[in-house]
Amino acid sequence: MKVEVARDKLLSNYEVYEHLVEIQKENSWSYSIPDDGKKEGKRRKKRKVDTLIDLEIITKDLSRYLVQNSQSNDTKVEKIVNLMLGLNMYKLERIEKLQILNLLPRSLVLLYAIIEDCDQRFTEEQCEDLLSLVSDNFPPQDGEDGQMEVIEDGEEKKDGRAKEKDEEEEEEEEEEELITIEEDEIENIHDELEHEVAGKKVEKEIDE
Amino acid sequence: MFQLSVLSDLTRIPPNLFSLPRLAAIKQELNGKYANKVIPKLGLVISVWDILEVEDGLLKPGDGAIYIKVRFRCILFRPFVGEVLTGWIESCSEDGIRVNMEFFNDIFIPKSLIFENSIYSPKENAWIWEMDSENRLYLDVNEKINFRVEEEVFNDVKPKGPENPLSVYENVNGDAKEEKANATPPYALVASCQTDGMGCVSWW
Repeated sequence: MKVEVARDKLLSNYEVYEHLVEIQKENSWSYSIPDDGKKEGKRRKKRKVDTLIDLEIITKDLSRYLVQNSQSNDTKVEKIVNLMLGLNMYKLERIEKLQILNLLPRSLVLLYAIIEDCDQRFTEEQCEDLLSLVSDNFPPQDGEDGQMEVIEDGEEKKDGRAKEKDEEEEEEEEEEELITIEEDEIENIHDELEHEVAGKKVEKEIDE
Repeated sequence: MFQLSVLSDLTRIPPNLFSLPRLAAIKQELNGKYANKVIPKLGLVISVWDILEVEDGLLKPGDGAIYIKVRFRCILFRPFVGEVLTGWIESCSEDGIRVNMEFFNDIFIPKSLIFENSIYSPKENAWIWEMDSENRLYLDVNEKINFRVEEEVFNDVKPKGPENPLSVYENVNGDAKEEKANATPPYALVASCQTDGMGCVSWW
């Protein structure tokens, strides 16, 4: 392996998410019960999983992370283009624009954290404009606005996380079931292989 | 947070993939080899993005597989120093805070990089930021927090050798298991939580 260009391009979370969704579609990893499970289709799917298990794990974890960080399926490309065109009006560095798109800051504090020397480079008015530009294109979802509410909901949020964990465990259980089925298949393959090897030996003997 | 890198590699396509279209087979092999792995000094590979160039396949005597040199681009998780990221507090200890990002868990905020006037409370298992005498803010486990990347650490991980069959008898206490859990990660991030805007998302 050779690294030719270490950093060819920077990607936004949105682009990565789109790519992951595509991979999941291609491999039909939906993490939910399929509508009609044809036997043939299922078999082929499981074979693939064997070699691509790492890819499946990372796409699953990463897409969950991105969804929890206000990434959603109905993000529109036009909105992103709109936001970027708006950001281009300001003298921002490329990585600063990328971070604004990724984090979608809702408060001045976070904006100041993202933009270096924000107080020297921009007036407060400009910063407010930046924030409204973000919220115009990406209106805050429920739970994101109203900071006081969020603090009160802290406990509930924890419960939410716990619930998710439970669901994960359930999923794992399901996976385990699948694995046992696979093992049967593997045994079959082993039998086949042994037959083949035996066949080859016979051939060799004939050759000799 | 994410970037594209151009790599080139010699891929081995085993005969059972010959039925697939060539690009699909190459992609599958590359994804199997690189996905969810750390490339030293480069970052954590998420998946193959696209394939740029495919050279003619080569054959090796005595091997049914085909070897193809490819140039491809892949998505890497490699935040730059100074970037602000969001994650969840995995655990707190006297030394600092461990942060979890679902797909990447080797993020550590040492105590020297947490807000000034913060103390660790072993009773509550949380870090407490004492802003002033009245306001005490808690950094609890599972809280969603913002943090800034300060340093990236790459470690050369040696390949795993065969396990010592005697270790089963020697380490009755299960030391071996602990060792596994504390093994140095190939790629880790040192983060800070010191400036305005960092810390729990709900504070700001």
